[in-house]
Amino acid sequence: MRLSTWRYAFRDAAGSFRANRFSSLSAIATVSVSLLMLALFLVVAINLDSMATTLENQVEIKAWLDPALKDEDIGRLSDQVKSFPGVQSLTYVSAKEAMEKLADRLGNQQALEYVGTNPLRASFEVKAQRPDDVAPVAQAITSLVGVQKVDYKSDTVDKLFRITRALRVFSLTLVIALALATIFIISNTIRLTVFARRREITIMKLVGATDAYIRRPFVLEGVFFGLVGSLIAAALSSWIYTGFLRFAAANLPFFEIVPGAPLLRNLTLTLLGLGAVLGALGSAVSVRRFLRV
Amino acid sequence: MIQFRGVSKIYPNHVAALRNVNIAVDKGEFVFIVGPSGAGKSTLVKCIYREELPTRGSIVVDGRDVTSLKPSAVPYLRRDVGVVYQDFKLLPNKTAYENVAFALECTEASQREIAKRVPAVLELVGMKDKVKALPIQLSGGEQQRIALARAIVNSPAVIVADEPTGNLDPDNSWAIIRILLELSRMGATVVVATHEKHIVNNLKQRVIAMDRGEVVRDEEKGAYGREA
Repeated sequence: MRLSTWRYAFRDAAGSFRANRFSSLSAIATVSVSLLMLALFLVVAINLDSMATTLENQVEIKAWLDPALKDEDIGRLSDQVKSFPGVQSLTYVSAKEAMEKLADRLGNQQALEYVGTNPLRASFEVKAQRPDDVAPVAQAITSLVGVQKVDYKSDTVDKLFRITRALRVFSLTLVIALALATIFIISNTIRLTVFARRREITIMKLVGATDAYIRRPFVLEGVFFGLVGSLIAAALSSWIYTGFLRFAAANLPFFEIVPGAPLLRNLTLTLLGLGAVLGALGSAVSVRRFLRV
Repeated sequence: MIQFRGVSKIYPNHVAALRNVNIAVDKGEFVFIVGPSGAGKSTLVKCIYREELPTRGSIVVDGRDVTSLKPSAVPYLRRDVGVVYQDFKLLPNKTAYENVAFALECTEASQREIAKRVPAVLELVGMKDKVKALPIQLSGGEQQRIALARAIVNSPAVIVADEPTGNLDPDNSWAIIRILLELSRMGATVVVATHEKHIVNNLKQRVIAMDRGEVVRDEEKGAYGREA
């Protein structure tokens, strides 16, 4: 392809932008608003996901050991549990440590002295790699000789996992729906600028322009709309999110908000890519209707 | 150069625009297609550059089988067939020069080629002085000359005109027809669909008369009709 072909395409795209200033600006505004919605929803979804992950990571399997076990039995047992698939980490808590923890929590060292002997048992605190691993790992530990009792608060944990899974499905569905709506809105807006030039397209077809040649300036225009619109959306959503972070730091200390540093850069890149692709697709789809001459 | 063999065109609303049309036009020939409105003149002309596809039959233009052409090959056929329309089909926001250059740009010609060929064809149609005018600033005859310049700027082997003088006064009509005759003398094959009795009768060129989709007469040095 010749360089001049690209020059014609750029010139035509710029000319069309100037000639259809109003619909061009409204296309950009539409792209920014739709992508801003998408971006805000995306950061909310990312935060929900991060919260769910934090909660899930707090889930722990506790396995109480037979007090009769000797140290080497405990070491062997610990190695065995670590070798199970899905086990991320294992912490050994001796009966003495358990007692100290309890005393800490009660804040009363002396109360324990009344008991005399240590009624607590040593235990393993096991973390699973993934939420789905928790139940099978607990099952496997239960079957080991020397383990007396296993608990992972199965009711609460199952409920928690059900909620986090529903949350993820819900936010993914909404993100996809919003993305589709964005494609639809963008292609509809661009259709207006294509419609304004349908006569030109017909004449181009009749004087022997190839479809690719006709499409090129429109696609360039669409990419331009998409890029400018997504830049605006990225700037606005970054500004809003930074503001929210400042607000959360002051007023919501108990929430762990995903920090802005890598998130906003990735969000901006995603929006730019999405904007360019959606703009190009939207234009190509809109032009196609007018190419059948 | 142009061959129609057993060509029929039936539109989706069951109107038969062409019925078993057989014609052959040689290179450099000048042909009038005449007939009343609805006779199928426009459909016949549109089939040459494949704005319409026939329902049956085969059409060969400059060695290309138009009926079996792949969609991706259609643009190249159209570069070989210059078309002049009754309503000019100029772009209102482009100057005379740009309207002609536009056709070359669409074929991805270089800037240098455009700068060389556009002034030459504009001179040929007598519009050298109005290169910067917008269509709205030109008379109908002038607009049609620009459209004619656009049709020939690619040096097509075939020039097709569908009622090119339909919107023009007699003087301008003659001017357009004279340019078309000149182009045919220079070797182009020219097909003109028209209603203009006096032009057809005066020029004594080949005349193909159509009625209700059929070729009813095909005469060398013909006239518009018996009643004329």
